[in-house]
Amino acid sequence: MKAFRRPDRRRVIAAAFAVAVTGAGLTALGPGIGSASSHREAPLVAGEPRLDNTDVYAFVSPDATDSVTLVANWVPLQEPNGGPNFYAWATNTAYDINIDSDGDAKPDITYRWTFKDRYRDRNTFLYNTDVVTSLDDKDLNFRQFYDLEKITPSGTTKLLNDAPAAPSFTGPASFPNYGAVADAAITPISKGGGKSFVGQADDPFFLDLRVFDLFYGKNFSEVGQDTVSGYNVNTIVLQVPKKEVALKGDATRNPVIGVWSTTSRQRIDVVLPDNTRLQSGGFQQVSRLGMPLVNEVVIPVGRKDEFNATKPQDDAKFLDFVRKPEVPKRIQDIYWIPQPKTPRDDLVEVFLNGVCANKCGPLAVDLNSQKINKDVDPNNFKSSEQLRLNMSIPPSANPNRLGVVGKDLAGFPNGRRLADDALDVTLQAAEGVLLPGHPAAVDGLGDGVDANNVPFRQMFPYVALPNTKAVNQS
Amino acid sequence: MKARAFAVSLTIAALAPASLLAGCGADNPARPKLTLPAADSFRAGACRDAADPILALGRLTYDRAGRKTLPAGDYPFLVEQGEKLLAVRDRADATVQERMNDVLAAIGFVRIRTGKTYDPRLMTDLETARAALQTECVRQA
Repeated sequence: MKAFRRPDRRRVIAAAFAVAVTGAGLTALGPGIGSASSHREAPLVAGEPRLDNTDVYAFVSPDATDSVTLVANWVPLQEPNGGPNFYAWATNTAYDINIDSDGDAKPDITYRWTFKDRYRDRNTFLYNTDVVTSLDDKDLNFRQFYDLEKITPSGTTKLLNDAPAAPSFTGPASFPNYGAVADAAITPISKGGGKSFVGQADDPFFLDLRVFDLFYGKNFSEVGQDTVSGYNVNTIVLQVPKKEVALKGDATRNPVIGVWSTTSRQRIDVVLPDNTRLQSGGFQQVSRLGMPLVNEVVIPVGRKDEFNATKPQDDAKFLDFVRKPEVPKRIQDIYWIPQPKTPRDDLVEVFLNGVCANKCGPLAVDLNSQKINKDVDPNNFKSSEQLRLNMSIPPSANPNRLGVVGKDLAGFPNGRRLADDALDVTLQAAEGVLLPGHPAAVDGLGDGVDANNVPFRQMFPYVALPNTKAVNQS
Repeated sequence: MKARAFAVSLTIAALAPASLLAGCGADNPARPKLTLPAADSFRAGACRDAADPILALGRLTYDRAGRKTLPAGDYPFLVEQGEKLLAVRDRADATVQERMNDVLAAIGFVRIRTGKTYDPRLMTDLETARAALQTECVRQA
């Protein structure tokens, strides 16, 4: 039996990219282009679940390839039967998805959702008072509505006004056809095109969170159980034409975007004697998420709250945590597997620069850095933590859960699809899978959870409907 | 002649599935018997002190070769042998230390790739590293 060979990951990525680009006829991309998730990850936001970003996804819409779909999730680990209040969005709070198309680490577009509550009857304890068959059903007591704004340096445009959010799924007796009620919350956007969905969904992330029990029980004996299986999240799904988010509106010349979500709350929260809350003082960012697992396992606990408040343009202060990551050190201590040599320029490239041939890092192939965009001035490029997507790479006919590591360039870390196995890819990357000459055994690292507990939908909003069965009965 | 050739191919075809199932494992009768050096042939010092875990690992890799899964008891056993190597590593010369580190890393990959991520080649890699350490320790003995 042959021992493992040692692959040269750069060649693999370069070859895979060449195949993808050539196959799609995308030779005109530009010079050189033949071209955790964070559930309760930081001390403060762990106590504020409504503000807690869990994951961000960005992918070319598989059934509408001239558009891009952005998914951002909040309010982690929702037990489906967590009534009577279930899972509302916070009011007086900005839920944002930010786009950086020119690589300066500042948002060129911010899509902002803000919510308001409406009760039909405050004299009942019930979320719904009888069977609900539509969004405006009189028996749906608690409803939320949102405004969607598009904020750019040149001004703010209101895209949606008072659009309905889908309610929490309180159970099959209350919602005999929850899917139909939820889908009625898909709201088209007339200005610029696209659509927005806001509501509850199955948590699309899948992983074994026992990583925090001394890296899977010190012997990987604790793997293979999807910790978030059966739990729900609150999700925002936005689909917009590529040209809406591309630099200068030209997704052919400028196909790469960087994406991250943020939550901002009011700075001042005054509690009155009757428990009324008065919030004021302007928005302050308290949660942030781009690449999965960064704040979860890269940023140390003493800096996590600060990271959540930091704008990408100021990410330089966190650079050393990426260049000298803690995870490989811990794995070395527990499993005796030597950590790759530091500084980890490979991780800097993937997490902070995007992958490109022009001084992004050692991978040296054009994949998903804003530097690839023809109209970007590389001198204005700034390293920052974002989820970067090259929108010119078409959806894969046969998606590989390992994305780029699995030779599927349409997947993570080129954007992130719902079915991408971010934990396995990140673990492998931390152990050096992108470095030439890495131990071949690194290629198979993973937590034994390879797919979501329920299938994703094949059309917008793609996320699966929320779970309704009690988690302790699953 | 043709009939004899046909009979030989038939025999090979009939045996093939059995040998595939057996793989390289300990149950394969065609496989050479395990031969390991005596512990007292390891040179004195750290190597001699490491002889027991090195030989124990040799027996394990021989027995588990080709298997697609490992018994649960193998994992604590691997940890135990690794810890024995760790206990003497700092007293070893640089070359032996390097070989021990290779063995420890190979043990690590077996430990970290459990369940469906386990691959029999991990055991091959462990044996390769272990054999190199053994050779280094027996040399000049």
